Amino acid sequence: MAEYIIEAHNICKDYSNKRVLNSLNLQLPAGGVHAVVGGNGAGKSTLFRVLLGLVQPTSGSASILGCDSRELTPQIRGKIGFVNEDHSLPEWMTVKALTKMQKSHYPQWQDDVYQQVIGNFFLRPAQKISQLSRGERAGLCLAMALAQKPEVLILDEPTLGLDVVAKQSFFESLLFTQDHDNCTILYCSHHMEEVERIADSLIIMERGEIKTVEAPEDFCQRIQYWVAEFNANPLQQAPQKDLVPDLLQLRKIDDAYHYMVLDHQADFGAFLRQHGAISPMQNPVSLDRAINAYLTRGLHLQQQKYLHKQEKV
Amino acid sequence: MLSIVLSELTRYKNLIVGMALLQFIFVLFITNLQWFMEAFVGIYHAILVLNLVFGAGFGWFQMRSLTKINRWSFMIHRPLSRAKLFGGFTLGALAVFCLATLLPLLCSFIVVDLNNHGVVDWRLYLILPAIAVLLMCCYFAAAFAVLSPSKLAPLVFVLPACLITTNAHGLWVFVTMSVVLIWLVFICYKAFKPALDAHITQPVATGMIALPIIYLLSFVLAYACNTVLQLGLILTDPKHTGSWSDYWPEDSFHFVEQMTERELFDYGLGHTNTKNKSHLNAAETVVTQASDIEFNPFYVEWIKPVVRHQLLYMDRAYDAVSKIRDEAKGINWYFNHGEMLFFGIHERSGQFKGWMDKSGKIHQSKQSIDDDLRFKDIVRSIDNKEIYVGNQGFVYEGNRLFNHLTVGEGESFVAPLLLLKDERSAALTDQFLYLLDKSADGQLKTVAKVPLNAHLSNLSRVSMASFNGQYYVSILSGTQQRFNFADANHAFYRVNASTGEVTHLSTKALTVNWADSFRYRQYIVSPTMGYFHELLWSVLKPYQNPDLSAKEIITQPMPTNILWSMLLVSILSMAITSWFVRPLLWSDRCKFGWILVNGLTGIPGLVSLFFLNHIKKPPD
Repeated sequence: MAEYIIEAHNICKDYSNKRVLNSLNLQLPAGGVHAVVGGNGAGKSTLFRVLLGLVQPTSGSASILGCDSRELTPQIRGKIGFVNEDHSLPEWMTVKALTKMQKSHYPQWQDDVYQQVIGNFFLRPAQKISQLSRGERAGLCLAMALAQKPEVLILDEPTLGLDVVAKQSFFESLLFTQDHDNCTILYCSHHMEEVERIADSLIIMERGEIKTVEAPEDFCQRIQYWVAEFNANPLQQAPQKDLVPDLLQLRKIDDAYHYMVLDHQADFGAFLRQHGAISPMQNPVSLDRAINAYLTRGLHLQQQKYLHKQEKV
Repeated sequence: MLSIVLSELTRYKNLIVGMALLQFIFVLFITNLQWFMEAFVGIYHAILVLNLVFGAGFGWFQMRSLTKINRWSFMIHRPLSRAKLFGGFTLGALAVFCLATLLPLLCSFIVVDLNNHGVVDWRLYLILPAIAVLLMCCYFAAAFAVLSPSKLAPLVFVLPACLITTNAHGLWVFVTMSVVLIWLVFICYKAFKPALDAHITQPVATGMIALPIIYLLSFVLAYACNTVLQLGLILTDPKHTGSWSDYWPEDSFHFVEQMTERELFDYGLGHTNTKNKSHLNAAETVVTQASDIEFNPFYVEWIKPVVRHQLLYMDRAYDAVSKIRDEAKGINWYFNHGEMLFFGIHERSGQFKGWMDKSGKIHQSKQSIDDDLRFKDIVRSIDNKEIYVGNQGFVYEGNRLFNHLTVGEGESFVAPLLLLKDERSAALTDQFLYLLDKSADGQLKTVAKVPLNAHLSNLSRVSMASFNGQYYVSILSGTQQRFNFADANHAFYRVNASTGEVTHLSTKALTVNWADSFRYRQYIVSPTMGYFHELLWSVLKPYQNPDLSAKEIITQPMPTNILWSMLLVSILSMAITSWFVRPLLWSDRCKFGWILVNGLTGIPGLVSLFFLNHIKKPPD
């Protein structure tokens, strides 16, 4: 058995002249829920497709369950469940016919799991797939993926467009299965509350590269969130990026400056006081805000530069 | 796999019903309209084309909808082997074709044949497997075009196109069809892979994909290069002779070919000796009033293999080419190529009136007819009363099928009799032009015969004019580009109307005037594809060029400048290929393979290299 259940080595993927994955390396051990987060175009879906052998990397290699992604055997494919963002299903079939087809293809089909999950979504066998709501389709996709008893379950933004109730049903189903089987889940979402709720590890992707792989709480601890007010002319006194190299985000809201800093070793409060801050205060940071600040740090700098330029003009 | 087949059937059930209805409407049409039964055989081609378009359209639609990335991931990512998945979808398509096309057609043919008094040969049902194979070929070509990441992939349609145009006969029809089908299934299967954006790298599969593409490109590029060249030449010199303009030089084949009949005779008379020239020029107006004949033997030559061997289309249509009509009794006699007999249908009642043998005798049962009484070759009928079979001509007179003309053994009529002004007739076989006179017993006797001295497929025009008790015969040869317009000449004969004496007046050699670069354009663009094309068609169309053997194709003389051009293109192609494949992470064998292939196939090979592979340098 390989040490890692999912491995990627120096994967690059180009579409025309655009590099979508850039020398990406990833090693994930078996078990747990690994959440992949990143902005649009970060390469999350492409990474999943490369892992499933649906897209050929321009260079590098990937393996899943010890098998090269480009040569996944039917047996290995049978151990990997996949739910895509569109919940694409054969729309001309009924739920019953589709279930029958899936059952005949997957030797380890668990009918009890399947029934349990579709029960959460109140699906009827006679319903046509084309008449299902988005949430019902998501539920059906998840039910089929879980019923095949996967060792790895890859979920590519499975709750996209789902309402609160459907999302709730979806997660209950997912967590129910995780309690039963030792399944490794690779999960991609833009909803940080979901990630916070279920993820054991967090994989942050940015412009085709993996920036960090760690537990969500560890990541949150690396980020400090300070709010401070300054005397006199705050625009000149408040420390900017040049003075704070670890700065992720700086916002001015109602005369107060909101600092998000990453991996700042020294006492950031003391640092702010040195620069004239009046009673700087550290606030708790949510995963959502932390990731938002992390992913928009470049954007924030660009915005600042743009604003400075505009002011000069 | 079965579940995928069933899923596909469910998916396309509306389409199946629609297509089946369309086919049944066709049945209704042909069973209720007598004229339709006698319509030109092209109606069967129309059915064929309809179904081929359906096959290609279905292949395109099915694969296009399947290969949308999320649906593709759902269908392909399952514990089934690639062969099973591919088999599921393609067998699903075959099931759709069976229900939407083949079954309705089978029913329609049975209905037609039940109304046809059982005279249709069982071999006519071969049209169904033929349509099935062609449908599947178009389906796989379209599927490959969708599945392959290459923009050149649609060019594999050249493979089914070859099948449609080929005149291969008998079992060869199915042999060639099967080869093409297997070929397409193989490349389509290779393209049916989880990573659709990945190019195929296996040498055999790459070769099988590249070959038809290179083949088609060799034509396209040759014609494109030639067009650019011709346009350039015309722009610089409006009287340039190598173009399609009217400026053919005198005494060239194309100059003579464009003449009217009258001009042709003038021209023939012009290149005889001075005495004749002055004498006949004076009679110019008489020549124009004389009976002129012009045969077009190529149509007959073309139709011959089709009628005899492509049973797929012909007999069922009561082809008008082989029909004679008994006006008194209102019976139409149709030739059956399976039985080599005529069968009669009363035109009003539609009643079957029996089988007519070579002697004109009518039988109610075909079993009792000896082989000697059956026609030995395909019958061609003219004006619904004359028929020609090999070296014999018949005329239908009331109840009698009268053999009124027999020419030399081994000869074959290539055009119908022509009645001349003075009650005489002229007939053309593949070897002679006959001048015929009617004897008292109704038989046509030979007065004179003029040798054609040219192979039929190289013959452009045979014309005849009568003047002052003399006949003049003009024979223009050199039409075949495949023969490189070899033996282009204009032969001119005089026939004495009273004695039948044939005098050879002259044979004028004609120049060809095609520039070597035009004549061998395909060879220059692709050094081996020109040969490949000739060899392929000598196999696929054996009736088209009976004298052009593989050995002749390979050993044909080639001008030195063309040989140098071919060599230059070959070396340049190899050099460019080497330059581009050098930085790639391919095996040496693969690189060497492409260099060699492009050396042999020239520019089309180069184009294929760029479109069938990721030539961009991979990232470090």
